[in-house]
Parts: sequence; C-alpha cells; structure tokens
Amino acid sequence: MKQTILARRYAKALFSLGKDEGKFEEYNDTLSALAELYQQAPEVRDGLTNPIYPLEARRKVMTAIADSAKADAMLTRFLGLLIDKKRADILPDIAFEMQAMVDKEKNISHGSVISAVELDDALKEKIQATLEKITGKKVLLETTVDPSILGGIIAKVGDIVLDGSIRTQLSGLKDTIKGSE
Amino acid sequence: MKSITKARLFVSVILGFSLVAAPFCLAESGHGAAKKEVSTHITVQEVKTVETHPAAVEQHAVPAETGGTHGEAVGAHGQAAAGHGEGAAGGHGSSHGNSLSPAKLKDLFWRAVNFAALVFILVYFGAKPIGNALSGRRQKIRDELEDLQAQRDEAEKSFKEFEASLAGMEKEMETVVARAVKQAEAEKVKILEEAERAAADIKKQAESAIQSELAAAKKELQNEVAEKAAVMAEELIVQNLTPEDHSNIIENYLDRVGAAQ
Repeated sequence: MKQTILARRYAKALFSLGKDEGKFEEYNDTLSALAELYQQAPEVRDGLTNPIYPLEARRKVMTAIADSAKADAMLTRFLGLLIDKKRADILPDIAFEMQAMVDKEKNISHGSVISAVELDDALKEKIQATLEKITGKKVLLETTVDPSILGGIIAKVGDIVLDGSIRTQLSGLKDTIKGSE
Repeated sequence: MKSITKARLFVSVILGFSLVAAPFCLAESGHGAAKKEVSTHITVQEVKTVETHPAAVEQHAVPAETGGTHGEAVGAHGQAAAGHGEGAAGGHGSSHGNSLSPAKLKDLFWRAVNFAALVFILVYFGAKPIGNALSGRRQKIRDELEDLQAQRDEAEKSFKEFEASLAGMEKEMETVVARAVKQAEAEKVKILEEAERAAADIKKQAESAIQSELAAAKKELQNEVAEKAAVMAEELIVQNLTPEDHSNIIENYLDRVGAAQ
C-alpha cells in the first residue's frame, strides 16, 4: 500500500534540506538509485525491513548501502532515520515524491507515449515539442508500443491525455453509427 | 201498529177456525162424554180421542191380559162397535130434533166466553211480543239490507279504486319500462363507448409496442452494423496501414493538436 502522505512528508523534508545545501538533485538521484535497488533486490528489502534482524544490524545494512551509493552524511542520517522509525518500506514512495518535487523545481514533466509501432527519433522529438508547447514545461517522454491501438499515439503528461489512436477513432465512429437514428 | 194489525188478523183467523170447528165439537159431545171444561180446541180434540175409545181399548186389552180366544175378542169388539153406532145415531137424532136448547146455548155461550178470553189473553199478552218480534225482524232485515247495500257500495267503490289503481299501475309500469329501456340504452351507449375506448387503447398500445419493437430491432441492427463496420475497418487498417501511414497519422494528429493550442 502506497504511503503517499507519509512519503511526501519525508520527501519534503529531504528536498528542503537538499535545496538549502544545493544538493537536491544529488539526493534525488541517490534516492532513486536506492529505491530501484530496494525494489529489485528482495534480500536488500528483507535486510532493511525484516524485524527478525536487530535494529542495529538493519542500520548497518542501510549505512553500508548509503556508503556504496556515495551518499553524504546528511543523506546517510536520513536513511538511518528511516530504519529507526521503521519506515524503510516507503523508500520507493519517498523517491517518487522526491522526484516529483525536483521535477517541479526544475520545471520538468514526465510523460508517456503509447504507439502502435516503434517511433523514430524525429517523431519522438516532434511529440515532445508538441507536449512541451501544450504544458509549457520540459517534458521527459517514456515511449511504449501497443499494437492494439492500431495506429496513432496516446500521450499522457500529468493530467493531460492526448488520444490520437485509431482504435479510439473507430470507437467514436462506432458510437456515432449506433447513436444515429 | 202494523204488528197489532197482524196480531188481530191472526186472532180473526183463529176465531173463524173456531167457529167452523164448533159444530163438530157439538156433535162429538153426543157420544156420551160431555166434557164441560174446554180450554183449547186442541185440548178438546185430545179429550175426545181419549174418551171415545176407552171401551175399544179395554176390549183390545182383555185378550192380551187374560189370554182369551180370538173369537171372544171379536165378539166384544162387535159390541163396542154396536154401542158406538147407537150412540152416534142417538146423538145425531137429538141434535136435529132440539138444536137451540138452553143447555146448548149455555154451552155455546161459555165456549164463546172461553174463546173471547183466549183471544183477549192472546191479544193482551201476545200482541206486544209478536209485534216487537216482527218489528225487530223487519228492522233486522232492513239493517241487513242496509249493510248489504253499504257493503255493495263499498265493494263497488273498492272495485273502482282497484280499477283506477290498476290503470295507474299500468301507467306506472309503462313509465318504469320506459325508464328501464332508457337506462338500458344509456348503458348500451356507455358500454359501446368504453369498448371503443378500450379498442382504441389496445390499438394504441399495439402500435406503440410495434413501434418499440421496430425501434429496438432498428437499434439492434444499427449496433450490429456498427460492430461489423468497426471490425471490418480494423481489419482493413491492420492489413493496409504501412509505417509511413503510421508516421503520417501521428504527424497529422500532432499538427492538429499543436494548431488547436
């Protein structure tokens, strides 16, 4: 279960500290790498959250991971605080909220584009430019291929959804035929 | 007054009858039984009957009591008959020879007195009750006649009333029948109107149901056509769409979106 409010509170604290020290991008990158490690390595997750292990042992594991990630003292203490407060399980959520705050600070939006075929770079750039023009922000795109949309693209940036897929157009055409008397 | 008159008439009849019967009474007195106290004519007749035949009665009684022969009885009877013949002969002969003797006149006188007394008694005591009885009977008959007349009048009156009521009843019956016919006609019209209304409703409902079914069928057909068309279009797009077409579609869409912004 996603602990959004709690994670946002921790992320906000870390982002505030990083911003004061001008290291919020560094903290963000490190935190994202740790979150990816946490999600991809079950043994790491177990070593950080399993109550079988003593708290001191779990703290040592976290310190070791922070050292390997070349985290500074502030970030290391933050990660140690998560172990002390038994909040290591929300590390990915904190990284997500931290990323959102950093993106907002840097005026960056993350978007996704679904297409029926693989897009070439020119098309990606054109899509990105169009989305940046619409949102007024720098857009980082993540592309996905889904042949079921038959053709066109479905682009999502924040709350904005641009559905130019052929499937949606066919569905509209079908509804028009059904609805017409 | 009429009752008294009738009573007098009755007494006159009796007196006349007595005068006619008087000679016979005088002749009978010659048989030897000169009975002087005469109360009524009927009493005289009875006394005469009893007294003129005692010998014969005695003669008839002798054989029964003594058990004598039939010849003796006949002989005694013959004597009695002879004696009777003598008495009769002697009586008739004396009456023809001395008809207004003092004794007879005296007897006639007393008879007349006796008769007058009888008449007086009858008139004195009988006139009023008889008159009353006759008057009462007349009154009773008159009353009965009046009652019968009243009953007849009442019956006629009842008959007339019955005839009148019968005529009124016929009229009332005609009125009732007319009213019933009128109500039946109104009910008939009402039933016809309701039936027509119900038929119209049924027709309307049937038409509505037909329209509804038609619309549903049309809608179902449209849906089916739309589904088929979408499937066919999808197949055509998948088969015929080239990578260049994909790029063109995306670019056209991006142009439209960019132009809209």
